[in-house]
Amino acid sequence: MRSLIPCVLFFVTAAFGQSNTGTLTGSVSDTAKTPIAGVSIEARNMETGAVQKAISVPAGTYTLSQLPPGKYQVTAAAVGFKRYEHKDIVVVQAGQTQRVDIPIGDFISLDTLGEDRASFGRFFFSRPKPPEGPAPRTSEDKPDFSGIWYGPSPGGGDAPELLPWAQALEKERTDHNYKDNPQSRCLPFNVTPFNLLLNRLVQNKDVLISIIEYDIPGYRQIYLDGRAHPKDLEPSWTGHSVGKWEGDTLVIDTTGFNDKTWLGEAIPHTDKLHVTVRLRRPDLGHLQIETTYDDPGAFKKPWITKGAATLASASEEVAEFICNENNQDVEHMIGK
Amino acid sequence: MRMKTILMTAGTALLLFPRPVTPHHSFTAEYDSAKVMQFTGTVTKVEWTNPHARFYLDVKDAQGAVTNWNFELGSPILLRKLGWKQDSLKVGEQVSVEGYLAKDGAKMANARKVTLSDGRNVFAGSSGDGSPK
Repeated sequence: MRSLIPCVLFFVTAAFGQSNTGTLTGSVSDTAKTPIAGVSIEARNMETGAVQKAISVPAGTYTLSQLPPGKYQVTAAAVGFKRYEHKDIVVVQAGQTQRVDIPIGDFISLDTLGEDRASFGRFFFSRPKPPEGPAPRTSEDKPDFSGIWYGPSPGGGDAPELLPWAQALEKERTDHNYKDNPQSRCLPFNVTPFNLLLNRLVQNKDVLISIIEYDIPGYRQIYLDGRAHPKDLEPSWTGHSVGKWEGDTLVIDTTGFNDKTWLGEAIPHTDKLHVTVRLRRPDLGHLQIETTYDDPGAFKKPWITKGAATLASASEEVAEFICNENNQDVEHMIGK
Repeated sequence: MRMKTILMTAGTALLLFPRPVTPHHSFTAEYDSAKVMQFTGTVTKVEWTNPHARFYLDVKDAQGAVTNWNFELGSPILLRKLGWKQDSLKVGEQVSVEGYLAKDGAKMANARKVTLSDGRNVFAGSSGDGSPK
C-alpha cells in the first residue's frame, strides 16, 4: 500500500496566456486504479488559510481553478476511504497548472463480500421506483409519514467544519484506523431516526416511531403530543426527541445526547449536540429529510445534510440486527 | 472487463452518498489489504450471524497439516438483500477463497471471493459475478 504513495504523479504544465491565478488539477483513483467520483479535494493556502474545494467527477478528475499563487496543502476525503494528505507542499504559480493525482486509500470495508462497493451499489441503485400519488394525510389533516422507507439517499451536504480539538481528534481516530469506533463494539452509531437500509415509520397524533433496520437500538420515539424536553435530562446515546408541525413540515428536535457516538466514521461531538430533522412528504413515494447538527462544543457552525427516502413495497420487512451475537472483531483490531 | 465496469459504476455512484451504511468495523484495523491469499479447502461450519456472517474452512498445507481458517463476510442483513441465504454455502463443500489476512496473525481472513468447485461465486454483490438477484 505504502509503495503506491510515491507513484503520485506530480508535474507542472505551463499554461498559455496571462493570468494572476493558477490551477490545480488531477484525478482520484483507488488501490485498484479505479477512478473515484464524489471525493472532496481541499487546497489550503498556507499563508492565508483560505480553503478552496472541489469534488471529483465520475471520471475521477477534479480541478481547482483561480487559485492565488502560493503554497498549498492538499487533502482529499470521501466517506469509506482513508483521508488522503499529499505529502509535498504544492506551489501554485500564476498562469500555470499543477497536477496532483490522488491515490486514495482503502475503502473502509474493502471487498468484504456483502459490504463491497458492488453490493452497496446494488442496494442503492436497484431499488424499485416509488409509487406516485398524493401524500396521505391523517385525520388531524397532517401529513402521514407512516410506511416502510428505503433509507435516505444522497442529497448532498459538506463535511462539518470542526473546532481545532475536534479536528485533531477526528484525525487521530482516522490515523488509528477507526479502531475504537463504538460501532465496532456494537454500540450506537447514529443520532437520527433514519439509517440507509429500511426504516418503518409508524405515526399517530401523539408519537412517531421509527423502526430502523441497521442501527442500535433499532428504534426512535418522537413525541408529537406537545410535551417539552424534560428538565435535567440525563445524557443518553439517542437523546430525547419531540416533534412540532410547521405547516406540513414536521420539525423533530433532539437533545440530551451523551458525547460517545462517532458521527460518520470518526467525527466527534459533545453533549451540547442538538439535532434538528425537518421532515416533509411532498408526495406518496418520497420523504425529504434535512438534518442540522448543531454543536457549539465541536463545530464552527451548524452542519446541514439533506437526503431523500423513497417508499418501499409494503411487503418489505425490517430485519433483526442482533449485533453482539457473534462479534469477533474487537480483539483483532490494530491501530496505528 | 465487465466486472471492472460494474465495480466502477457501483463504486463511484456509492460515493455520491454523504453517508453510506458504515460497516460494522474498519477493514483497515483488522485486515491487511496488501496481503491477499488463496485458500482451498472444505467448509466445516457456517455462522449466519451478526455483525458478520462467517464460515470456516479446513485447509491442508503441502505437508498435509490441516488448519481451520475463519473467514468474514458481510452482515446477513446485507447478504440477504443480495439474494444469498444461510444454506448458500454448505458444510462439506469444497471451495476456493481469496481473502485478506488478519493483521494480528490470527487464522482469519476477510473473504473477497468465494468460488464453489463448479465455478460459481457465492456471496458476490454484482449480478455479473453470479449473484442470484
